[in-house]
Amino acid sequence: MAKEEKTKKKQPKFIALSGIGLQMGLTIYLFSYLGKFLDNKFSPETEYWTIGLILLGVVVSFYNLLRQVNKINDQEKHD
Amino acid sequence: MGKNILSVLLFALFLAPNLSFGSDEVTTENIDAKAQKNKEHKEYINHHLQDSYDFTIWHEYGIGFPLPIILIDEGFHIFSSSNFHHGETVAESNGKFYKVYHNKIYRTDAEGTITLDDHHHPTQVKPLDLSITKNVFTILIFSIFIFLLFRSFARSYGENQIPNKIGRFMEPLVIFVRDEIAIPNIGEKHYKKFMSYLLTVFFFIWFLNLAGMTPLGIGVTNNIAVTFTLAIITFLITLFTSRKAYWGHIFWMPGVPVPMKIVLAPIELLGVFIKPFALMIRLFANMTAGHVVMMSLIALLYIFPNWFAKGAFLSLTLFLSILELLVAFLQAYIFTMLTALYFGGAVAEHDDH
Repeated sequence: MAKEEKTKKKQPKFIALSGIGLQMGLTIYLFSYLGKFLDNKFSPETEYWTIGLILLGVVVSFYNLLRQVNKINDQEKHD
Repeated sequence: MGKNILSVLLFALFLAPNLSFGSDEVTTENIDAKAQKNKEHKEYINHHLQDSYDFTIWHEYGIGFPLPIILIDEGFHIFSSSNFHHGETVAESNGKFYKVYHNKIYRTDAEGTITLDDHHHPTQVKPLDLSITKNVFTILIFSIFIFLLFRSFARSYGENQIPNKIGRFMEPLVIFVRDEIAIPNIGEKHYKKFMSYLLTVFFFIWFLNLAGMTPLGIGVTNNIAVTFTLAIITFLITLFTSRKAYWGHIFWMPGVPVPMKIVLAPIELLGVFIKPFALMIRLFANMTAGHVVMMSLIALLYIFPNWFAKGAFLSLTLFLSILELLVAFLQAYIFTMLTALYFGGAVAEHDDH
């Protein structure tokens, strides 16, 4: 059991975040796509939906990133 | 190895003042020849990265051997790729004519006419192609090799507990995959049922990456179809072994406020597909980039007239070759590591950490 704990500590846990860039990018892209669609449908003159939803996409993707980083940090503390 | 690089550099330094004359005059002819040369190099690199219907070892001297072509096109067609004469002639099989155009087989007539549409794609029928291409051949050979290697490795444990000659090299690697990759990521309870796949994928990718480093030109892992298949298998195993907690984490994230749960659900669902996609792209892009950089550096040897530059590029190529050997292992490790991580997420039983 002692040996197992030793190997656990050596593990680079942050490798779990290797795909996060792609996920953040795609999240923001999809939010902007939805924003454009809503702008075309409801108010073709303004772009408030697009801008607002892109900002929301950025917030959500960062929230998701921070949540995962915190989770990994907590895990490392427990080990 | 450092001594080798040093001697090459010294050699280049010694020759630099003597041999760089005569190529400084810039004429239009010179530029045209250079552009032509650049184009040739680019084509050579692209050709090297692509799969092909025959196994060519030395392109210029025609050293190599043909491989079987298997087509399903209103019936079964099997013939040798030597019938194409390296894509120059039309091959006939059971009354139908086939021609290779841009590395793909199309059904044509006896003259081999290829008509293009507005997007420069041929309008001819592309039959279902199950040919044993160079990549498929390499994969089969290496699968047999890995199978025989591991069989003799496993058998040596039947007689005594001390591994045989191959075993002394393989045992630490197998233990490494188990103790450093599988157990920390999947957990003591469930890791055993994934070990066979993790070991297979690790050694398959590593051996084929190393095979790509040989001068045979068999880059299998820089073909996106191969990495796609590997990623799809990981994806399917993740889905079919997943438990309640895995889907709970996706659709109703524990530990976050309710509005965030709703917003995160589609993003996490997206993540299910992004993860294997990233696996596919990572291996493919790293291996392709490695090969392109190496071959471009070798091509620069032929482009630069200066002997000093030649020496510098040669030593850089040597250095990058060693780096590529490391990358070959690293990419196999990362692929296996992330696969184990996704399996770990799929079989996780509880939320508390």
